Amino acid sequence: MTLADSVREPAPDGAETTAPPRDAALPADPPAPGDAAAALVEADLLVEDVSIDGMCGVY
Amino acid sequence: MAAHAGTAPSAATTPAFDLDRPLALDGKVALRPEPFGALAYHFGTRRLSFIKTRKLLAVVESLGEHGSGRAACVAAGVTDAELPAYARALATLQASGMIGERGAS
Repeated sequence: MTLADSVREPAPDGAETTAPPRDAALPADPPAPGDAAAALVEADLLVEDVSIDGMCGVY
Repeated sequence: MAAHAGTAPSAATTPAFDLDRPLALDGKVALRPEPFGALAYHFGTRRLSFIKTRKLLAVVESLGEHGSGRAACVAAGVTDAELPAYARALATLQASGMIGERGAS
């Protein structure tokens, strides 16, 4: 079974139809405000700087 | 006028940062890959940066092979949606001296 086959759905009359392309799919549920905030925080934290000055002796 | 990341400048984005300029890892920086991404250590400033994704590591490692930071991002698979965040990350790395404009003293 190919990927194209997997998106085909049999019509009630037996004819074969093809599911709409992904671009035409219904939009997903909008993200909750908390999810958006979490994504924003994650995006801003791709880099985190620290200075190790003064850490001598920690180990 | 060079295009920037496509978003308004953030606090983390220095005015001098330009994603369309040729960038390179500073010669005094060592990268150590880690499961979460990588550690970058600058032997001159003794600063340590956590690079928190493998994709950003790929971008940083390949900066010297591309004509611009944007090209390095695209080559590493950074999507249009991710590009603003990666531009901010590169701006942060430039501000801390981990990367700089190629050819700049």
